[in-house]
Amino acid sequence: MGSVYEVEHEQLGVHYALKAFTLEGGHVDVLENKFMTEGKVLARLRDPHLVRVFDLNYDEATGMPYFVMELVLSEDGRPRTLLDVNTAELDEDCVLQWFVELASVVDYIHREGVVHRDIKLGNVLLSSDGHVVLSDFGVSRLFSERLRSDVKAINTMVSETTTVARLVMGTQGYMAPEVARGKEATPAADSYSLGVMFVYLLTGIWYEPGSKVFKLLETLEYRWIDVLPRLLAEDPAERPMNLSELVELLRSVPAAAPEDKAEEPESPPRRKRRVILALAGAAAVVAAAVGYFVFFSRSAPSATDNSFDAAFSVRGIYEGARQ
Amino acid sequence: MSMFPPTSMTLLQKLAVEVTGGNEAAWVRFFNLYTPAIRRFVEWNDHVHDPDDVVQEVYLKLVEIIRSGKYDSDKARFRTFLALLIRRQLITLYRQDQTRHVADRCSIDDLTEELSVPSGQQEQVDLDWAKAKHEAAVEHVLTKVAMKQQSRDIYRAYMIENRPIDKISKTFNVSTDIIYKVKNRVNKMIEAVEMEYAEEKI
Repeated sequence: MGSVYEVEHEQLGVHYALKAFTLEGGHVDVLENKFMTEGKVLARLRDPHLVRVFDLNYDEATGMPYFVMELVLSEDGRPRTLLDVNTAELDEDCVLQWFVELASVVDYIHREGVVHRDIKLGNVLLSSDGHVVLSDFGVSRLFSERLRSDVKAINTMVSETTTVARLVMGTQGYMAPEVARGKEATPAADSYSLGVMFVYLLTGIWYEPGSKVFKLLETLEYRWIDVLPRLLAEDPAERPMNLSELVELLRSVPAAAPEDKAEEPESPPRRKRRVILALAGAAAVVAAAVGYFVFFSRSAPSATDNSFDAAFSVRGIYEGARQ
Repeated sequence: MSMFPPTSMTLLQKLAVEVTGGNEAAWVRFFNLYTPAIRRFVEWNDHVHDPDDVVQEVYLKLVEIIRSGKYDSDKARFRTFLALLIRRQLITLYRQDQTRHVADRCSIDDLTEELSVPSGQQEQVDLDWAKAKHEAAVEHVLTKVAMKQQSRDIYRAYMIENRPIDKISKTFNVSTDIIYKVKNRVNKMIEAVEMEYAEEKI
């Protein structure tokens, strides 16, 4: 539904990400409204781990909407997501930091009345200093009446119309069981997706109900074993409502006995938390497996086609990453 | 005694759904769990062909057999069946090299009959799979599980490169006690990953 470009503000000389609405068939009015809603919602949310939206407008040339947002680039100057991370370079402290950041931002959007509905590795951007930023609210659902009224939103779920069969939103593999069965996604569904994502980051194994991967979690340094199984509870009512409590639990109690922890080898001092990124094709294979969408659209203007707004000039098109 | 629990049809059924346009997640999970072990099997038995090409051929044939509904779980446990399928694919590749024939002329019926397991081979196949599974689990833990880089390096040096413990202690500036603790911890991780392989419902 959208193509993402790197653009430069002509007057300010500052680079932004610009997401432009592109036609891909379907109910154009509904899709356009959904696109506008994404921009309006993001503009109202404020968190260091969310992409900020600065402008929402219509392209003069095509009449299509676009919104301008914060450009999140990794330390190699390219847009990267958690899909691009080389797990052979990951340590638990880094994963813990990401969990704290994502759990807090997911907690925040839930309190604001938004269910993301598509939390996955490919929708979490990495910033140049190794922090994570949640992106792509294209299939999010607003359950706060106030927010819906503020942004004059129609929800993206086709199921909320009365005539069409329920359409399941999200990505297979990350999807909560109740959502896969066709029930409406609640904040608990985001919690489940978060759990799937972090089981993978910690163990390299895709969680599936019945998996014995929790045995592996028991060997890790932090108390993931007290946190992730709760997020992955089959019954959404059993998943924790307050993610910040889990963060506190993880931070407060190390899994290893104190004497073991004291004798754990020290890592050499790090100059800077580095997120080593794999540029190899492996990420592309995983991306294809989880239904990662390429953001390049035939209907989108080319990188040299400066038609969005006189204020911006296009500097690049992101074919493998989205915001 | 078998190293693996009897396998069920659950995941194969899901795969069958996949090949008819269904469950992508099941296929991804299967692929992630089995590819390293299949690759090990190929590498042990073949030094001519690109292992990735062979693995792909094996998967293509596997999907074809599943699609045909010819796999009979009563005749062979899945892992045994898979081991023989790999061997069969390697033979096919060597024959193709010799005759320059591109197509595998063996029908699915002939192939599934050929892949029925002689009882005497069962134990050896189990042992081969156990070895492949262990090596794949070690590789998985050292490349996929989140842990300190120094722990990975110590484990490699001690358990894989078999370097003397006093030298490792000096190199990494840690006590021998810590080296043992790292070894035990990583071994527990490897056991857990092996358990994940073993518990996979095939």
